[in-house]
Amino acid sequence: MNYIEHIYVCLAAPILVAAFCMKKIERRTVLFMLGGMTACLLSSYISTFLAYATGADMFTASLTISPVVEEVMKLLPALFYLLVFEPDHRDVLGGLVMTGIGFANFENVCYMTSSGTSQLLHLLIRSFGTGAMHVVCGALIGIGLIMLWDRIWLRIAGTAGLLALAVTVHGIYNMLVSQPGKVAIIGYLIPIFTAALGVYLRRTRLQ
Amino acid sequence: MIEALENGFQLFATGFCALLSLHRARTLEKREWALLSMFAGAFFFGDLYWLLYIIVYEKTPFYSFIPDLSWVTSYLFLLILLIHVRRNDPLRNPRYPRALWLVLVPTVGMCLLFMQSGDYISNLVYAFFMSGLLWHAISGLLDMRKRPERDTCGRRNLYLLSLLFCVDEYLLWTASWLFPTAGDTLLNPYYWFDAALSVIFLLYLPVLRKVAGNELH
Repeated sequence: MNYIEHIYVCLAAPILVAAFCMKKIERRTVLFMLGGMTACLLSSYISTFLAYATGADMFTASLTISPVVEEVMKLLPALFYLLVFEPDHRDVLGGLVMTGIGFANFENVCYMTSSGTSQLLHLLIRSFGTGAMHVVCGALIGIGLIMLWDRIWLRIAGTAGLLALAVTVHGIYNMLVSQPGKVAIIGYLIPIFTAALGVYLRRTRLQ
Repeated sequence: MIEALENGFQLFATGFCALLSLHRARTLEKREWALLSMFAGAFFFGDLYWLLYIIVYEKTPFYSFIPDLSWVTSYLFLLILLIHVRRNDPLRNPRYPRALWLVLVPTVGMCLLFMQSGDYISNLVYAFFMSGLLWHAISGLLDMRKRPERDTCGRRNLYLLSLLFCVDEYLLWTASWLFPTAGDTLLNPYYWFDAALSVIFLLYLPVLRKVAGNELH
């Protein structure tokens, strides 16, 4: 067993116990968070496998393979919830955001344990940037889905399109934060800008 | 220098179109504006990824599927917009003329041409979406025949602009394919077609204003 699974077990166990003690809505929220953490764990496996299979180095993989794998994996818990439980479509936005939070939390903890905690400021900026980015990408898909919900072909096409959009935003973020200095700061600002855009869209209700 | 200016203009055009249509989607609560915003926004992010990669790494991306994904997504949203507008047209002809299958001649032909130097999958995907866009733009235009201007509610211009968008994209790709080493000069036709594409994005704003503002459903 690798180190990442140890972290996953430590974080997931109390959340799972708490989920059984909660009522319907709170349980759903917590389970989405757990789904996000699981998606993060599985993403690391799949990204590593695809990088090995395509012969890409870690740097290229983080720019091209990881955004696709991570965004697809983050969508799966909400997609499962939508298809199996057939809830009101407006509930999905919260689920996607919670999945993003779970994903970002697990990724941040793994990053902290592998890179150390000596630079608190960098850790702080990175945590906020990554957290905002995963939440924003989830919300981007959720808000778009609410807009395009009423017809089945719109839902399918819209989900695919918004997923691709989230992948590009994620790819731009990964590219910028992999650079030193000001370029990385711009990268960290992208999620903040898109979060502001998300808040703006949150108030939008289309015919 | 010309390439940087042209890329900057396209980023401005697509970003402006995306933001303004997003604003209108919120204030007017019309799906047409939301779809235009997604169309322009997806194109903007594809351009941004490509441009940032060139600036940061001083080379074009080795794996270009992320910006490709974004550009294909923008075609998808334009296709949804055209279908949505046409479905909400009470006077539309529900049957598609058989002659529309002719749109496959240029798209498949160009696909086979570009496959000689590019990869198969992305060219097939581009051809699929271009066929869909041409199909709906032309069928929309055929619906507008013999109809007085007041009954078209601006739809004719939307279909015409979408047709222009497709033609310009093909001219752009052909210029890039024919003159891959034309260089960073004004004589390179690629830049002219790319600048025309930026103008087309800006033209969608006044054109869709008439369509969304006169919705009949």
